[in-house]
Amino acid sequence: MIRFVIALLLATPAAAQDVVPPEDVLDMVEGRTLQYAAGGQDVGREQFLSRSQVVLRDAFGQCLHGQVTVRGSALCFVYEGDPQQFCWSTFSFPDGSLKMRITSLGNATVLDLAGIDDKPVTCDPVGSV
Amino acid sequence: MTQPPGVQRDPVLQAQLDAALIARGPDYQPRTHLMDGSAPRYTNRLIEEASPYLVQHAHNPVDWRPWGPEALAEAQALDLPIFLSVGYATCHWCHVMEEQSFDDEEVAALLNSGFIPVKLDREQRPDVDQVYILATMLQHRHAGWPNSLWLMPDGRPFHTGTYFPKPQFMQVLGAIKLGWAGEQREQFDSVATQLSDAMARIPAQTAPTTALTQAPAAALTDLSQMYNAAEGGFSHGTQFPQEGHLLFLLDHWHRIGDAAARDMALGSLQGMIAGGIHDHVGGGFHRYTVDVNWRTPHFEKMLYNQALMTRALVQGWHITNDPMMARAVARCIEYVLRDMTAPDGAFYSAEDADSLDHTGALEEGAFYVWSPSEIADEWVIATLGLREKPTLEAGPVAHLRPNTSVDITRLDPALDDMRIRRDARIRPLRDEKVIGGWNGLMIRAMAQAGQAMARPDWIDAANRAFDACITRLGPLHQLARLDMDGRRREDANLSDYAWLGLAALSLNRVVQAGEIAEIMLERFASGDRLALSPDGPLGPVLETEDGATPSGEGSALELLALLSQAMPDPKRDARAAALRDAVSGRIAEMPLARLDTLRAASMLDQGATERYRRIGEITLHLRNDRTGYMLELTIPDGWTLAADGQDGLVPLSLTGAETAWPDPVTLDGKLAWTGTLSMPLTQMQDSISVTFQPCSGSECLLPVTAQFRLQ
Repeated sequence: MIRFVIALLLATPAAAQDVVPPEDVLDMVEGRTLQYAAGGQDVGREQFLSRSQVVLRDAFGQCLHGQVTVRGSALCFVYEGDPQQFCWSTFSFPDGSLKMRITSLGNATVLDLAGIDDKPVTCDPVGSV
Repeated sequence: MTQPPGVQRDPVLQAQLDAALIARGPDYQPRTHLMDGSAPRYTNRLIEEASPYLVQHAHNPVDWRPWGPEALAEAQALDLPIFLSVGYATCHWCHVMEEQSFDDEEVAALLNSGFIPVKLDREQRPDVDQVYILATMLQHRHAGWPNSLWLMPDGRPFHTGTYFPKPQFMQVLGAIKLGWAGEQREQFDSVATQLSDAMARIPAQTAPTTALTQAPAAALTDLSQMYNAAEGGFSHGTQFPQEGHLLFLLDHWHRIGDAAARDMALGSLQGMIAGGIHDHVGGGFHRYTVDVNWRTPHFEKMLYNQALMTRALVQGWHITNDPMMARAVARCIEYVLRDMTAPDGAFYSAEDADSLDHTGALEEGAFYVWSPSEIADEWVIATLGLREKPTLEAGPVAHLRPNTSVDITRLDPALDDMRIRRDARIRPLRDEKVIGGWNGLMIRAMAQAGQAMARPDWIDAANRAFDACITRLGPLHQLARLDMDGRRREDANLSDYAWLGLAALSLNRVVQAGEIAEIMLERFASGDRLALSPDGPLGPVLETEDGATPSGEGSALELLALLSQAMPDPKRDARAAALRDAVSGRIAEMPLARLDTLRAASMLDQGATERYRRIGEITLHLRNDRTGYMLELTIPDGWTLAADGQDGLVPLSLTGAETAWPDPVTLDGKLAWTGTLSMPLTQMQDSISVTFQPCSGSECLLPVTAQFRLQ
């Protein structure tokens, strides 16, 4: 996992995780691409086209466009073709890493933010199935 | 009965299903649009199931099997992939997909001919649900219900999704069917292997054993950042009760007196009591609200919410003595006993959100909303906010204004009248599954409320429910998870055992709670941790978080912690410590994700904080009512508490308050206390401590100090 050495994290108190305000997350990710992982496995890349629009590339190489809104301490996403809203809160850790805790599911809901770069996501024209 | 499209069914099975349909009786209403006259065109194996959610799909043309080893064995025998659809009774998009796809003969023909179709109620097998929601999450980075998965015949998933509109669903089914028969089979197997490896790795991730001294403060910081100071709750959108957050905050306040923790919990409870999430007419609480001010609920009422809200409200009432909290508790319990209780005393699972409105259309909240024209008293209309613009098409939702006093003596008779009139409406579907664990949660809450509010009738009802559960689901060493009309389904999981164990303890059935704990430790052991179930589709299922309900592992730790006080046992206490250590690293990493487990760990290390406690053979109960505080110690026959004058023994003492001591008795020439001691308290400080040393005829135990926070 990469370490995010950015100003907002320097304010994080030592020895505890901390909620990162969603506007701060958007400051960090706007125009950039995040890579997500869980248990060391990549689970997708998401490009923040703006503060309110994303494109997510899933494990099949298919892309989904989505809308982002801020809800309190969470960022919430609605993707095309999926009627359900999907929200997460972002946490920073003393080592500089970030994790997302999905708030719309019961279990197994913590994902790692494994990387951030400026490469746009590329989408396969047809899924792998 | 018509054969399912795309498949030839064995005549013996067909006859069995026909008989099962007839056995449902004349009042049974098939849920399908595919009818031939008054009879359903199709009936599948789900007609034999207990879960109402599964039975709802029993007349789909899709030839569903229930989840289980038979379905997996059939897939292996026929060498077909499994299509697994996971949902639950009140899941809106599950029903949309059913209407569009599963109740469609064209889709059914494709599904039946190329797959083994399997339906799973996530409430019946939360362990299996947890495994497969992770699979979808890993492939898509988002997941939800309906959860749609394609599995290898051995249960390993290779393709996942959630809701599919019919055209896309047909496309995916066609592609997988073609790929399975052709060159993609190996690719599916390879993806399944990679995905299953990751799925096994994530829940089993460990972190080094860590002292949890900093974790409560870290959790409090996070909760403070998430707290909605204006409305209460921990969201600025959809609001869930988050009872686990509230119970943690109240426990934390008891331990260190942090007013911010107390105020977040009380503010949330007050917001919910006033809001539309509270069923003002019938009592009890809906599952969540779609708006931030608790005004417009999703109307489903779950048994576990009634249980956890009751516990939080009882604790809130202890702190505030707020009659509105006591009233909310009473109305919630009255609701459960009136509308959610089976004839034998066991509790049903849920009531649905949707019901038929006056036009015969299925409408969310139709049973619950009120038009002002239905109520004659303008004061009642104004008090319940029924002229305010409704968020729902169905109509306005009754609510109060937070922190505004209401003339309850005038409102309650009006609400009673409204309830009687409402009962004449068509009720939402009641899910009459009796789930062991959910009953355990409600039994515990009802018993605690009965003890706190001196309602022996509630304690009796809790005892009756416990006995009914064991009769339906037992014996203890072979507990089933659920029962409906005599149909027992699934082995009980860790949560079922832990929640029933906590229920037994709250009913002072300490020995029975100990038996449950022993079975639990033996059956669900996974190293030093405890698995939600030992037989998930890919092996033991370990939980990673506390969710809408406490995790089984967290509740198991709480049971062991309380037992270590009530009936210490070195071997069992060592298992408790090992479990705490095994999960401590993950708790410390993100305490917010495991607040119930963190609270249980604090109990194990520092003791309980609640007003009613069992410490060894002695029961302590700090009561408060309008006349003041009363500390009650119950000493069983054969035991005494040392009084002043006994050499070498610590006498019963009280700090932080004054009391009028009852007279001790003289036994064998020495002063001691016996029986029940009722001690009215005066001149209380912020907290009180009581110290005592119990003795029986043959031994004296070590002295104990119990602390109670009052302010």
